[in-house]
Amino acid sequence: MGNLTPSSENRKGGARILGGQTNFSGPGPQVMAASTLRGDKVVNLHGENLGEIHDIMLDVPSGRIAYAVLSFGGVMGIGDKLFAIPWSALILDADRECFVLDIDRNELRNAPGFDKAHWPSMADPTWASEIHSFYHRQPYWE
Amino acid sequence: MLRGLNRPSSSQDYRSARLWHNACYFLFNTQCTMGADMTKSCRAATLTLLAITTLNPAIAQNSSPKNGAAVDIPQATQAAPIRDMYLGSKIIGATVRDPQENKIGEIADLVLDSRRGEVAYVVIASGGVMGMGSRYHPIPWKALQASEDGKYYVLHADRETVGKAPGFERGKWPDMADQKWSADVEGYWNKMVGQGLPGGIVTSSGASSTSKGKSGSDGESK
Repeated sequence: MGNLTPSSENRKGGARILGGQTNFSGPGPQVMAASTLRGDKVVNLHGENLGEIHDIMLDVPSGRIAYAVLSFGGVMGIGDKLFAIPWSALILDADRECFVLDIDRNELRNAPGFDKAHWPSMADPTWASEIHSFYHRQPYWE
Repeated sequence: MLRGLNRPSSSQDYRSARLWHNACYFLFNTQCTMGADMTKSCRAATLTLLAITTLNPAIAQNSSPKNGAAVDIPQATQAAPIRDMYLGSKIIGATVRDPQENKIGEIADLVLDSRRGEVAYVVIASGGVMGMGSRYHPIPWKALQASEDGKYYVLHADRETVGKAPGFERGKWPDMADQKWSADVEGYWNKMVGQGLPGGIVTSSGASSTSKGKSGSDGESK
């Protein structure tokens, strides 16, 4: 990840941005409609496919984007596994119109995930702390 | 060692071939064991490195001087506050009501500020019939409150106020990144809903009894 230089100032909890036009004082390529996120590709630093964005999870009182829910594996949406990825772990690649997550495919296979019928309680503090630890992110609520 | 393990040529007899096979078998197994050990020690080294970077954020690969994200790795014991979490796809389509519970419109979309990791606006579809002819109005997230059951959202303004708010036609989205435009939106809603906006959408369980039935800027308390 060391060679990736975020092109804009970052706040804790934000996703870093690559490419696009950067405007330091105001919103830039990072402004997006939530409804268009679904299906956006996620790749790793080697360009390998890691799946796609399934949904986002919001922390309602604060308005923070807590997690992106990533769908990975399976065929045509069947048998895939879901992963809650801290939003700050994602890099938005505005040029390629995808998200970058610094993780090996094998590492992701062993990451804490869940299936569509068994969503974890994302409001559970223990779960949330573990997820942020796994992706080496500072919790968004701090 | 490997030199002695050249594959026997076809002229050599069965016994030497068998010997070669056994030697290979032995070597293969040894390598496997070594491989496992090495993997283990590599993993141990990685963990040590991880521990070092945890203890000293300055060494952490992810840290950069200006970048506030991803510096400290949280300890597993650190407790997070209990949160109200909602899926984006569940919020979209939810009804927005005024404090008297009259329907104002529906949440058509959320505009996300990716860099800040926040919802910048809630886009409310209002007016029209059966979704036809409705206008879209972006409203700052903090101007809305989730209802107690989380099934709808309360805006402390009436339908008329929404109708006069900066908006656009469905399918004709403006450039949300335009600062003048976002200043107009923020300015309008600050004026209409008041400066004393709660810091976020507060679930009504916390503030409903005092804020319900009031509109304008006087009803808000942090």
